[in-house]
Amino acid sequence: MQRNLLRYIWVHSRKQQVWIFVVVLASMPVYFQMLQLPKLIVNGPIQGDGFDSPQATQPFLSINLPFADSLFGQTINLFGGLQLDRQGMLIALCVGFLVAVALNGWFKLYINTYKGKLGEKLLRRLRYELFDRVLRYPIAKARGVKPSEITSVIKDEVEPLGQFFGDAFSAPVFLGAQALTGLTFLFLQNTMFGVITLIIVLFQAWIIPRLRRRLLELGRQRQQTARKLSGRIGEFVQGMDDVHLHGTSNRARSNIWQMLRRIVVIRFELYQRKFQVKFLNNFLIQFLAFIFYLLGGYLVITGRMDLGALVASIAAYKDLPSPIKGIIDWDQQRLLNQIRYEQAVEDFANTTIMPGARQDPGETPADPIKDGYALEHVTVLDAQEQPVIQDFTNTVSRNEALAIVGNADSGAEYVAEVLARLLVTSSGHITLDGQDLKSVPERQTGQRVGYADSNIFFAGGSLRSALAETLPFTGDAPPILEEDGSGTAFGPYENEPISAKAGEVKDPSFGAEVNVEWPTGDVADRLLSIMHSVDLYDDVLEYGLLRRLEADADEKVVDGIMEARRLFADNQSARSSKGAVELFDPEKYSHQLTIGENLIFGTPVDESFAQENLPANKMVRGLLDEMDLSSRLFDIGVEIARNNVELFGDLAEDSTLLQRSGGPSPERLQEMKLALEKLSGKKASEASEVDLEAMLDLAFDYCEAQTRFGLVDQQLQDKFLSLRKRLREELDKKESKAVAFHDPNRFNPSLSVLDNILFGRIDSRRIGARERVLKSIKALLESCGVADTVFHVGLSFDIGNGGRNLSNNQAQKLKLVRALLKQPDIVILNRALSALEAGERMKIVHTVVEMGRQNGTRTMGVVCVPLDNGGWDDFDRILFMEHGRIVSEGAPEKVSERLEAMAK
Amino acid sequence: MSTLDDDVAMLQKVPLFESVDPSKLKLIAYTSTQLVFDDGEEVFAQGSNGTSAYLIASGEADILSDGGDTQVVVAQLGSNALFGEISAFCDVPRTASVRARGQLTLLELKRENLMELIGEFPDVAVEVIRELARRLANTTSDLAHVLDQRAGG
Repeated sequence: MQRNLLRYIWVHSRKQQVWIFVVVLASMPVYFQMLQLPKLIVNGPIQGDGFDSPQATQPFLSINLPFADSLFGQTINLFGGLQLDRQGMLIALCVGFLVAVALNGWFKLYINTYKGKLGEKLLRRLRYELFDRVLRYPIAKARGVKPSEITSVIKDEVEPLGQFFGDAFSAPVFLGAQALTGLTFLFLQNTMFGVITLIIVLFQAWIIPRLRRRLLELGRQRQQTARKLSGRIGEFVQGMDDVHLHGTSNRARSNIWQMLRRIVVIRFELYQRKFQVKFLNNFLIQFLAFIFYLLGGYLVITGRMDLGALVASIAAYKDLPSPIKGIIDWDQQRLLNQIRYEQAVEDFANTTIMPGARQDPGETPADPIKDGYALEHVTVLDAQEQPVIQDFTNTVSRNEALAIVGNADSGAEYVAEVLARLLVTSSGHITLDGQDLKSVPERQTGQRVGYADSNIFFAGGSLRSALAETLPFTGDAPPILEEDGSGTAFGPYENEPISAKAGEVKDPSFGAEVNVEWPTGDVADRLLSIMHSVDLYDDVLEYGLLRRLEADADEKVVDGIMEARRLFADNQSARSSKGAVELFDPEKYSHQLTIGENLIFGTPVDESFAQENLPANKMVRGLLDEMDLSSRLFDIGVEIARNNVELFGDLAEDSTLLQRSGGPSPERLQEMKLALEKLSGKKASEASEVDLEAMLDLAFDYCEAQTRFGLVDQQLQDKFLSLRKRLREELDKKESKAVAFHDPNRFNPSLSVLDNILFGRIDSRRIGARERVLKSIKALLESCGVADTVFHVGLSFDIGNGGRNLSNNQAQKLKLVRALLKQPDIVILNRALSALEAGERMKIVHTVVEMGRQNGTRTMGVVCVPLDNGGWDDFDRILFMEHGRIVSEGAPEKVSERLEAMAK
Repeated sequence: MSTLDDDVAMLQKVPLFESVDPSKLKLIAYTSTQLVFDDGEEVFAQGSNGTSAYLIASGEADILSDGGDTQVVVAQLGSNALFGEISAFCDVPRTASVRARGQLTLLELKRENLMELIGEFPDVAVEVIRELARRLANTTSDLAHVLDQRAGG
C-alpha cells in the first residue's frame, strides 16, 4: 500500500486533479472581469470618462488580438464592438458585471462540488482498500486486533482526508502561481522591495518547518490516543458483564478519564503550537508592510524615491500575503494529513495479507473434495512459541468418520482448527486433494467443508439471515473506483430482521437469493430435516408461534391456522380435562380477562382503546352512560379500593407480604385510601371527572379470576356483554379499525400465531398447562400441515446483537445447522455443542455421523473432536492424542482397551 | 369461580384457622394460589421437598403411601381438608404422596406467606400454636392409649 499521501492521491486521481486545475484556470478571466468591471463602471459611465459630449459613444465588447503589439508591432482589432452612449454603456457594463458574478458563482459551485465528490470517492476507495485488507488478514492477526480500533481507523481517522483530497494539487499550484505573480510584480515595481520580500519569505520557509516538528509529533500522538480511546471503550462495552460483576465501573471511568485528560493536554498543546505558527506567519507578513512604510516613507521624504513608485509597490504587495498564507496553511494541512494517513494505513500496510486470488469466488460452484486432507509433519506453535501440535502426520479422508480424542492439552482441537484453516502451521505440510492447503481458494473449503465449534457469535439479523449468510456468495468483489458516484440503487448491506409476513414478499435487503420466502425447494427440505436432527425445529416453531403475521399474510397460511384453531377448540371440548384453556367466546363473559378486556374483547390497534386509556375514551364513556353502566363501574371501583384497603391497610408499608401478594403498591394503596375517604358513600354523579376516571381505571383493570373479590355478578356480566356488542356495532358503523376483535371465525393479525390458534387464555391455575397446551398445539400444526409454515415464520425471529437472543444451546445448534446446510464433503465438529447436556449432545453427534452415510457408503466425511466418552462405534477410526502428538490410532474395536481405560 | 369470601368461609372450617380473625383469613386467601388438577394428577410425591400447605376447595384427593414398588391409598380427603401443613411449618420431606381423584381444586398456602402473616399478626401465631398444641396433646393421649393397650394385650 502507498505510504506517501500525495503519491496515493496522484496515482488514484490524476485525471481529476488536472481537470480541477484546468477549470480553476478557466475561471480566472471571469474572476478578473468581476473585479475589473466595477472599476470600469465607476470610471466610465458614472464619472464620465470618454463621454465628453452627450452624444459621445464608446465601443462595448471591442476585442483586440492579444499580444499583437509585441508580435506585429501594431494593434489588431478583431471586433470593433458596439457603439453605446453613456446610459447604454452603464446598462451594458452592469449587465456584464451581473453575468460575471453569476458565472463566477457557477465556477465556484462546480469546483467545490467536484472537489467534494473527488474527495468522497477517494475516501471510499481508501476505506474499501483498508477493509479489503482486514478481510485478507491472516486469521491469527485478525483475532488479535481490537475491533473498535479498526473501526476507528476506517471510519473516523481517514475522514478528514476527504477534505484534503480535492485541494491536494490544485491549491498549491494555484496559490503558488498567485504568489509568484505578486512577487514578480513587486520586483518589477521596485527591486529593493522585491529582494526584502524574498528574504522574509525565505526566512518563513526556513523557520516554519522547524517550529512545526513538534506540531507533527503532537498530531501523531493525538491520533494514537484517540484510537486507543475507541479501542478501550469498545473493550469496556464488550466486557460490560465483568464491569458489573466485579463492580469495577469506577475503574472504567478512571481509565477513560485519564485518556480523555491526555487527549485534552495533547490537543491544547497542539492548538498553542498551531496558533503560534500562525501568529509568526502573520507577523512576518505584516512586518513587510512595516518595512515598506518606514523605509519607503523615509526614501520618499529624503527624495530618493518618488511617491508613485512607493504607492505602486504597496499596491503590488497587497496581493502577496493571502496566497503566501494559503500556501503555508496548505502545507500544514498536507503534513498533518500525511501523518494521519501514515498512521492510519501503517498497521494495514505492514501486515502481510493473503493474496486476493485466494478469495476469488469463482464462476462455478466449488468442486467436491475427492480424497481429503493429508498432513505431514505438521507442527503448530501457540503465541508463546510453544508447540500445541507436534510432528503430526496423518490423513483425513472424506470417506471416513474420524474421531480425534484427547484431553484439554492434547492438541486435538488445534488439529480441527488447522483443518478448518483457522490456524496456520509453523512447519510441515498440509494438502487437500493433493493441493497445498495454503493455496486452496477459500471458496473450496468454504463450500465443501463444514465446521462447528462452541462459538456462539452471530451477526445480528434473523435466524433466516444467519442461515443464509453462509451460503456461497457468487458475486465478485466490487471494483474499487470505476463507478459513478451518483448511483443510488444500493445492494444489501445489513442483516435486517425481516418481517414475519408469510406470503409473496421480496425483501430487497436480502438481494435476489434470499428473501422472506427463503428457503424453498431442496434447501428447505434439507433445512427442515437438519433442524429436526439437531432438535432445533421445535424451538424455531415456537418462535413462529409467538410471532404476529402481517395483515396481508398468505391466505393458505391463514386457512391453516384457522383450521388449527378449530381443531384445537374441538379437541378441548372433547377432552375430559377441559378447562385448561378458556376459549374466547363473544357471547360469554370471561373471568380470566379484566373488565376492560371483556368490554373491548379484542386487541387495541388504536392507542386510545388500550386498557389504561379506556376511562378517557369518549366512545366507551358514551356507551357506558347510554347503558347506565358508568355509575355501576364507579361503584365497583370504590368497592375495589375498599377491599384493598381492608385487606392490606393494616400491613406495614415495607411488608414483604404486601410486595409478594401481587396486591397494590404502597403508593397505590395510599391513593386508594384517600379516594375512599373522599368518595365513600358518594354517587358517581357527585364525583369529579378525575376521581371518576380513577375509579373507572380501577374497575377496568379488575380481573375476577385474579382478585376474586366477587364483584361481577351475572346481571352485570350480561350488561357488559351487551356493551361489548354495542361497541362493536359502533366501531363497525364507523368502519374503524381501532380494535381487532376476537372473532372465532376470523384470523386476527394483531395476535400472535399461537394466540390465534389458542383463541383463549390458558388457565393459570393449572400447573404445567402452558407446556401441555403448547405441545398439543405443535401436534395440531403438524396434522393441519402448517407446522412447516409456522417454522418458516419462526425463521424471521430476531437473533439479536451478536446472537444474544438465542440461548447458548440454540446458538451452538444453529452453528451446526449452518455447517450441515451447505452439504459439505467433510464436516468438522470441534468440541461442538458444549452447552448441551451430554446425552443430547451424543445423540446429535450420532445423528450427524449417520447423516453422512447413505445406503451403507459414506458420503460425507466426519472429523469429530468429541466432548463425551462414548458412541465410539459410530466412527471408522479413532486417533488418540497426547501433548500434541498422536499416541495411538485404529478402528474402535482395535483400540477398545484404550477406550475402556479412558472411560474409567 | 369461588370468591375470596368463599375461601374465607372454607378456611374458617379448618380447625387450624378456626379462631383466626376473618380479615386475616381473607389475606391468607388472597395470597394463596388456586390450583386445578385433573383426575390422577399428582399434587406432590412422598419424599419430595415442599413448603406449601393445601386446602381442598372442591373435589377429592387420595393420600398414598409408597410401599416399595406399589402405592397404597391410606386415606381420602374431601372438601375443606387441609394437608401438607407439616412441611409448611418445618423442613421435613412429604410423608405421603397426594393425587387427585376426579377434578381437584386446591388452595395453595405458601410457607413464606403463612410465616409472614404470623410475623405481622402475633394473634394468628397464638391461634396456630394453640391448635398445634391441641394436636400434640391428642397425639400424646393417642400414644398413651396405644402403649396402654400394648401393655394390657
